[in-house]
Amino acid sequence: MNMQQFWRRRPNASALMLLAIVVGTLPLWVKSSYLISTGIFVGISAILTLGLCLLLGYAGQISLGHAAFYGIGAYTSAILTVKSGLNPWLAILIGIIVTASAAYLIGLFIFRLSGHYLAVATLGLGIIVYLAFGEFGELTGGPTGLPGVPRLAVGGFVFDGDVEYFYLVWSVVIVFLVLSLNVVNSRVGRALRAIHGSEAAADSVGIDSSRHKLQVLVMSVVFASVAGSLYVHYMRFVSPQPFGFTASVRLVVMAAVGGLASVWGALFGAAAVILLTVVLREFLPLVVPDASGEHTVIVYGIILVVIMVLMPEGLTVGLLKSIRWPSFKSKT
Amino acid sequence: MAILQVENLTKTFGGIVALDDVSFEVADHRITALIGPNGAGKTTLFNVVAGTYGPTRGAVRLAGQNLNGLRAPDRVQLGSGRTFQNALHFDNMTEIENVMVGRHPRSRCGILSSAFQLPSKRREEESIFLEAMRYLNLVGLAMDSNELAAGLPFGQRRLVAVARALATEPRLLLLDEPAAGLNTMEKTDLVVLIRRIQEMGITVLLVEHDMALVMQLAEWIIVLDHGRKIAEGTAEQVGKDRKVVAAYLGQEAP
Repeated sequence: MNMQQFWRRRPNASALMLLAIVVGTLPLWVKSSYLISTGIFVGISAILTLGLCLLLGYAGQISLGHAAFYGIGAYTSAILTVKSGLNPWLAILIGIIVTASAAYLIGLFIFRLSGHYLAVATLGLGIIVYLAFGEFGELTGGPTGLPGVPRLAVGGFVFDGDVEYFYLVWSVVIVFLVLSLNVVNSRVGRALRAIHGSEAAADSVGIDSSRHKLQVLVMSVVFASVAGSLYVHYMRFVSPQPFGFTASVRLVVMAAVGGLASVWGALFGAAAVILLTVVLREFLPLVVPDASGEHTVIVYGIILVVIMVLMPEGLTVGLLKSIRWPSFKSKT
Repeated sequence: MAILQVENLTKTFGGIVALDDVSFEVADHRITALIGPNGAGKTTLFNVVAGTYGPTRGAVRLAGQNLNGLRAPDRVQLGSGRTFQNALHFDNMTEIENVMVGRHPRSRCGILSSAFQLPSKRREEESIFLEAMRYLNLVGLAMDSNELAAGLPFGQRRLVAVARALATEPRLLLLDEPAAGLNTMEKTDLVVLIRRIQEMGITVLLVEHDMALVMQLAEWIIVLDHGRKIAEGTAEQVGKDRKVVAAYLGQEAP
């Protein structure tokens, strides 16, 4: 079997190998610590977007408060390691449990809603959690945040350099990518897409919609929680700012840019939006002298509208379709 | 033996009485048709039987078991399958995937065994695929199983919906206007298909406006009008019934 045949027969396995090679060799020829650090943020965002794609793209359930779960993971890790001196890995595990339980309880109530109502409810929840991070100062360090989060270490090996952390984050990305691909191409994945298509029709083939929605929400927030933990152990500091409404919107933009119902798109979406942010940070002040974070949100909004109008299936699918690419045409 | 018993079923929406004290039985293995003018309550009855919504009064029994209070997915588990008037709802999936979804109530792999690709999942996926192919074959659609459902011609979408419902292994299959929008050739094929479904031991209850098809196929006919059952019997009996004729021609019954 030559390479082309293998690619056609096992596209996901091939793409995973390609990704592993690219990510594995990247730090060998990219020496800029700024770019490696950007790569770490792309990885963390990719984990978040992956989770959101499962929920939004496959099951069709909107969350405009997803950054809250990212924040709960981040704060659980930070508080337990800083205030209680707990082992960071154990703290990550507890973060997962806390986030998943919170999502489960919220899901029990919130999935009685759908469409715009669900969007508004998740939006509200996101804002409540964000405010809570700032208000419970005793625990969270308030608006100024909580410094002194330790580095992650395995035995004697400490992830203290950016390159080491880059490898750690991207290993997690690849593991979660594999898990997501497995779920998408399974009985559960089909059930999620069926729910997205029509709940009445899903009912008619015996799919328990509420159960599957809860499950995918929990899976999605587990990803978010791990991303949050990875974030605080990299920054070694936590404050409410990265977990607000803007962050939630940014995640939706990443998912939409990548193509909502596409696991691989999550990766491209995260990379595209982060690289855009980097570019905006450099060039926006040249156009608008006193540009701030708020201005980038405007640009996100414009991008989201343009993509939804021109390429409703997302940038990845949209571009692939516009290129005449014989191997992507369906066999007849 | 009756596979389905509908007992004094009443369904009101606000002030509107959609079903008014309807009772009938569907005998096992007999193709039964539910007919009536527009607005007679046929689809409402289907929805109550399938569990889309509960009845205001009365009961629905499947093989003797009271279905009241059971949600739609649980009823599918018990062996009640259905198709919808406007056929297919999963346009984001291929033909074969649409039918594979139908295997949902007869398979078990959960989110964890799927995520970690346990051996049980691989085995089950394979059998889901093979079973789905079998049902696609049965309706005569195995040729282009990897086409996206959205791109299929209307007649084929219908058939995919039937294959999907069959894949849930129903004992009772509710077909809501299966012939609507089909051409003469497709209707002939549909008659053959429904007879074959009957031979598989599945009881078919269909709502249909095409009288020629109903007369040809149905061994028992139930007539609804304004939410009430006005007649039931064989095609011959129902065709002679004055109330039925009046309902269809819009005359006052003398």
